[in-house]
Amino acid sequence: MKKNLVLAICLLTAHVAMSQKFITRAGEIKFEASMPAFEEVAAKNTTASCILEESTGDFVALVLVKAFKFKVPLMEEHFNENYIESTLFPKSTFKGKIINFDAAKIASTKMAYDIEGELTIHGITRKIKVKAYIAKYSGKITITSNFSIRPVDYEIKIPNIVKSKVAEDVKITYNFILDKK
Amino acid sequence: MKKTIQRGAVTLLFIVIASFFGYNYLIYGGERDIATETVDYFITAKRITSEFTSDVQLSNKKYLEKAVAISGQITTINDKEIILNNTIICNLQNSDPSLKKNIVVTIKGRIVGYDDLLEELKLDQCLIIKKEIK
Repeated sequence: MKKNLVLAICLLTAHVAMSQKFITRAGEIKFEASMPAFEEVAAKNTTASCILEESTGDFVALVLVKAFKFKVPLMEEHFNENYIESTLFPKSTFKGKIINFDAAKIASTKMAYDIEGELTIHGITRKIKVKAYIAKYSGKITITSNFSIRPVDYEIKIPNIVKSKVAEDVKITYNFILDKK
Repeated sequence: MKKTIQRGAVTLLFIVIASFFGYNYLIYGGERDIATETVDYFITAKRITSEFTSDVQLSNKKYLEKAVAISGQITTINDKEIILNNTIICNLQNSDPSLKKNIVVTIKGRIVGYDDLLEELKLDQCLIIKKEIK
């Protein structure tokens, strides 16, 4: 009887230890769609949130579009009102999984993983697969990645008049430092 | 002859001035300054949280981009990031060392949106408009 109880407690605590969440609310996401010889088209957001389930590699992230900061306020206004329509679609999300993620194997040196899932921007959801670098030191998990998306895939219309100034591929980089919850 | 030169110079000067202001507007213009805007809504942290949790879409329509004054208790301080009632994340324009945990404040800021992942409401360009030190 006692043995069973001990076993039960062990299993229970093991389960709790296994479902370990890592979160951040200060994730950094940058994007750039500059064209050579034209004004820089780039913005930065430092308030993205992200949850990583250590036991399964489930990875979700959310960013509020209105918090993207551009150098030029007018560009920010156009981005919000005409391109990304942030009043209709205030957030962008990613829901997916880090493939072959094993919490025991991540170390202080970066290792490459594939993250696969659904990216929702401008109300349009698409499946993507991107490479990410993951490391862990002093109890924190860092995930960094860069990838490109095409605004047309997300039905973001760029008027002809500025087409030459905005790249067809938008480079996105993110850097999340996740803390144990 | 002299007149044409004079006229030309005046036109040139005018063009230079106009383009200077035009350029300035393009680069720096159009930025919002929440500090000088009038508050659209005065509300408690509890109330606005319950509004967002009950209907995100409706609340988005009502509050997004608006300058709102929210009163609540500080539960976390992280330099420029302060959290009211565990659910409202405010990014201050300037850090304020006089702020402490548990004090009740009223914060004015711009509603950026609702994060339904962490179930938190985010504001930026915040400033403290009232604080009550017990």
